[in-house]
Amino acid sequence: MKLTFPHMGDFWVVMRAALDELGLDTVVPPPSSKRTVTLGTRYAPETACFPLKLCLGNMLEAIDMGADAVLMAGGSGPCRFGYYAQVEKQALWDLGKHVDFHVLEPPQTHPRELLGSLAALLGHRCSRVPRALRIGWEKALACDEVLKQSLLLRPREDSPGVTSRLYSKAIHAVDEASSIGDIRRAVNAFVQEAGAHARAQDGGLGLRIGVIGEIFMIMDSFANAGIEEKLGKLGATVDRKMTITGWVRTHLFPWPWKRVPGPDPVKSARPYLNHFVGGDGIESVGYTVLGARENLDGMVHLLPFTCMPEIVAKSVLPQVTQDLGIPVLSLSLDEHTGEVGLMTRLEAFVDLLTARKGATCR
Amino acid sequence: MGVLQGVAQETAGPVVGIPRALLFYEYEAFLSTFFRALGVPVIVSPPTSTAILDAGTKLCVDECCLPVKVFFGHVASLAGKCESILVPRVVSVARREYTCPKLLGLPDMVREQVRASGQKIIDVTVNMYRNRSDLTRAAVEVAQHVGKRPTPALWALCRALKAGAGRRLWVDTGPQPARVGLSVALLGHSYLVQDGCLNLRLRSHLKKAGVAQVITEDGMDPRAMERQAATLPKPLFWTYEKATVGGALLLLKHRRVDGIIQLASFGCGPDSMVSSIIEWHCRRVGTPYMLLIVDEHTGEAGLRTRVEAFVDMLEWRKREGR
Repeated sequence: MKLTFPHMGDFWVVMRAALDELGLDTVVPPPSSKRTVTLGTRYAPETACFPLKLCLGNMLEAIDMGADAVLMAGGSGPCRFGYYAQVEKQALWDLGKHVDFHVLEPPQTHPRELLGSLAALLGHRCSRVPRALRIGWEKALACDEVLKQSLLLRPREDSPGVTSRLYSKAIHAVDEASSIGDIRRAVNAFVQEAGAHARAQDGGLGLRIGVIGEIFMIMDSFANAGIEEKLGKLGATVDRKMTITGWVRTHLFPWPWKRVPGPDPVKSARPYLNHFVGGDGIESVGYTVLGARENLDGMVHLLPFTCMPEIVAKSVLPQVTQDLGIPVLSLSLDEHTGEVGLMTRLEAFVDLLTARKGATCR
Repeated sequence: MGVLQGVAQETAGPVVGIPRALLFYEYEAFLSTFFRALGVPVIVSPPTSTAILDAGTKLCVDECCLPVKVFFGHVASLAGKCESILVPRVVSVARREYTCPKLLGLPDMVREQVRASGQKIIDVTVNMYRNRSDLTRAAVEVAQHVGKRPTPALWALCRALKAGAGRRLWVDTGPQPARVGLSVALLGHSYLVQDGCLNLRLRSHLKKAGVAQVITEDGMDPRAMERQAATLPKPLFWTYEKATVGGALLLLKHRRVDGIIQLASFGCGPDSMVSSIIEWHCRRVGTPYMLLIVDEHTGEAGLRTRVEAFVDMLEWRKREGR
């Protein structure tokens, strides 16, 4: 059995580490590219959301490389994500690619459903699970730390593009690392190198922009056309609360460890959004309210086109803007997104924020 | 037109407005009986018109689907006509199932609009995900909003449930070998299938094109649909879409129809997945399937052309004996 899994930003590093530790064969799909999108959109349902198409593209490319099983998460609604696996399996089946699907999802009727799919996956490897989880978690923490530092460095980098170069080097090093010591050394090396490339003064007004929205679109820099990099290059420090570890905590951890440190976004979303709406809709609203309290200068809201929970968030966010005075730019992205148009909108938004901040500073 | 008329019933007290959109079409009999038994006067917005559609398109966020936009238009049409507007948050109407994320956030989406027109919003949450008895709590909460006591609310709920359950008249979906004329299934959300303005009078176009019988979901046995939907590898967690899939599978199983038309609104999340499932099953059985997607730009002539072409193809197949 050769397992593959969608990229989802840098999450593949975590997946590969954990599965390797379990002694399972893995095939990491090639980096997402135009070809991935073309394949995904060709075989996925026409109006399905973009993450589904990209994941399907990843799977198709991995199957070409020899993968014969897919591991992914599922859900129990009301977001479409809960039915991804079934629709993707059907699409692959139509193409004559009869791959196995291992879907880890909250059980519908009885815990034995989840235990059953885990047993099918693990076989006799149960004893290795704790160590696999440990190294996976450590790599997730490392990826988050590298990301956090890179977001701080980018507006202050001394030569253009150096942050992104160091970032991919560091992610590669974390992926290569085989022990927890190696992982920590890779992170430390990145932090030191990043420090050497940072200018003391960042020249501008020190804009801080929050990024909120649907988790896949935030995490996958291919899907969001490198929005964090673009904002960084425009001189803004990106503040992103939704990360790999946060996602793992809220989606995969059992109850007492579920909570992400810091103020609860779900409670902060009141009175604008009073009920969960699936996906990350309520988190988007909550983090905007929290962003206003933390005096962030603006928010960029990312959603895949036709995403249901984020459309609800998008329609209540203008009220948050009106009450708390935090500008929000909603960007709905899909396979048709033109990068230049996106850049123009981001530049205009950053200009607006600069003007606002300049006016209040004076 | 249905049980409720567009005028306030002759009872005193503050009037409750109900927008004629979204789940209203599912629960019309239920709502009318409930409020009549409670003694609360009700006004329902008029049937969807182009003016309501345009108003909704202006008020709602651009990316939303057509039915939600129309809901905004119906809420706007109730401005100044009633004291409060019923915008329930219908989270779940069946165990372990949800409705749609947009229905989960509906009161929060329209709250500002209702407040701006000086009306109150009755944003009671109905969540039967774990327990059906949540409906009783919701009924009592609605009664509190309109200044009634819990006991009459429970009494009204009992009568409303009875009225809501007895409204269906099922056509026989079993095998029927001797058939004259074309029989076509029209599947999709009730707020599209039953709203003549949103589906651009699709039923009359079907009739004109020569379809003898149009079968919709509310003409089928819900329990048989449920059983068919349960045959999917993973049960759908959206209640209304589950019924759509169940209906399609039931009709396909008995080869009851010559073709299936699914009506969906552009940007509908659940339908984007469900349509691919239904299409897959239709292809396997060899029954023609057409997905009609409507939004606020749809031209009626284009829709008519597609319907006529589809029906022509069905007639040709029938003549050829396929």
